[in-house]
Amino acid sequence: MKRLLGVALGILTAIGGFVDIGDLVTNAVVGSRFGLSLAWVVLVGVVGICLFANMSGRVAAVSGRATFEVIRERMGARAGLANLAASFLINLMTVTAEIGGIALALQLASGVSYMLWVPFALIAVWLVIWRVKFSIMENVAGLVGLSLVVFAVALFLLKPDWGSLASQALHPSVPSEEGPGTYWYYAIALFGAAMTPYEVFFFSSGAVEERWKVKDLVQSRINVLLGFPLGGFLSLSIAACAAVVLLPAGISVTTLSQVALPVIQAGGQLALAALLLGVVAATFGAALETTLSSGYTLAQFFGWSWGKFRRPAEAARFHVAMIVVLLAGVAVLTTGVDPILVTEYSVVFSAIALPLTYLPILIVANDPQYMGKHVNGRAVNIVAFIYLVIILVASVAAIPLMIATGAGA
Amino acid sequence: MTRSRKLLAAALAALVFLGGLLSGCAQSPSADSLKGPAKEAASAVRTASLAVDLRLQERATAAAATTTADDMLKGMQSATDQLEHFGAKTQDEQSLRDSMLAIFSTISRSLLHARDALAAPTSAPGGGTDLAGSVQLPAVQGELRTATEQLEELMTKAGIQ
Repeated sequence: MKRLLGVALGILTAIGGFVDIGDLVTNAVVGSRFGLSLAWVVLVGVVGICLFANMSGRVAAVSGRATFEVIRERMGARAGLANLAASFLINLMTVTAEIGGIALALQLASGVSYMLWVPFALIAVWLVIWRVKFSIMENVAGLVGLSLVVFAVALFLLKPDWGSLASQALHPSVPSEEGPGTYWYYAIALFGAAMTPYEVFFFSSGAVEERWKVKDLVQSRINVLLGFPLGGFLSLSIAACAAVVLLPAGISVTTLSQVALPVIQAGGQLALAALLLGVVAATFGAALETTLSSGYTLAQFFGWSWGKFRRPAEAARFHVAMIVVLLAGVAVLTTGVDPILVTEYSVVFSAIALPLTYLPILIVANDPQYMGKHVNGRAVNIVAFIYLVIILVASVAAIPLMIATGAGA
Repeated sequence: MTRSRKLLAAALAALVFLGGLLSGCAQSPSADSLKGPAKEAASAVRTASLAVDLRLQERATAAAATTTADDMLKGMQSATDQLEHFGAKTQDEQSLRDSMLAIFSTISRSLLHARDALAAPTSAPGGGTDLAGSVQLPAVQGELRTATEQLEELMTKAGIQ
């Protein structure tokens, strides 16, 4: 019974923890401009993140090493450092976006400017990282984040033309008002939103934090294979809500307040309350994960003592690094930069940097020296190599498309 | 120069060339450049209109509706800035830009009214004895709709979809 509860909790946490500010914004932007014609990308992204998380979780459980320890060992110090720089910068962008997301959600709830909520968000994130146990932190944020199911409920309440939605999803085409360049740019953004590298750093480091062994792999696999696809369903609901309400009204999403409008239209103030709770939990949870991921990557690369299972005094540099990252994120926000814009760029840059983390994990997952008999099977390898090609194409195409389309304008 | 450095230099040069090529292919500063700000403005005014509707139906809270109107006002500011920096090459472009700026100014004013009415303590219909907010909201909605119609008319005339 206890084991069953553990599995259920893991799945629910994975669903609630799947959506972050990047998913919220990108799916709503895409839904409001392209309808569900990019739904296939969510599917591709969800399969990709399941594969990636599965491999990195297995590597961590079998070898006892987290992603960045493996990257440094396999790629050497120089290539590893370039990888660290890219991953760290994207983590920093994501931390900035998530803290901005918390503040924007609180503004929507209170009407008080988000800039005044930023210091509050900073202190809250830091306090939780400093004081709260890893498992509690992960489970509470994930479970409260489940409130975002309100998007799926709202979609039903909106009584959409299901046939039209299905047709958009099953027969994808570029809408007449948009160019093919913009379509593919947002396809990459959506892919980057689903496969953010920080999720993998957090997942594999969390496996070490929670001292996973090979026997825990079954539960982790169930969490990933059920939780992430259901999280992907939430992402699709966000896009569908925008496609049903905002696209016909000629509204293109550029702010978080616009993301909320379909939910308000469907369910009124009660639905809005659930939405705000879900957005705060999702962005808060993601802020914790990205801040920790920044500490993990630095500490694992430089060989510092790390982990929340250690007292802060025993992992001082790890904790100081996280404080510096949080302060840097807040400093960026105080310049007045639009957090939604930071989010939009962070998901695209995530896609650009993805090969840097995916490739080393794929190599190690096939290395019997690390993995023994737990190396990738043939079927996993076929899918993994197909994904390597997809990831490389997305990474190479992202910057040219960004320039050509004016970042999807 | 080692082989790897040569490769790196070649890759960088290729990237710079590609960047330059794509920048050149990107939207030229013509009447097409007015499309971006026009669409941004249209989206902003329609969003504010929807927010006011939802507030009038008591579906949205005052905080959410006010935040939406405030966000749209910032969006309008950004669209206006883009339009002001647009260098018109022909008399027609100059005339289109001026007409658009005039409508943008009307939209900004109506968004400002919407934000103030939504932020008023009695912005919900039937909310209290001071009728400032509740009387203003339907009027503001009318203002927003008129501004939307004016912009849509101009966009159709200019061939902006």
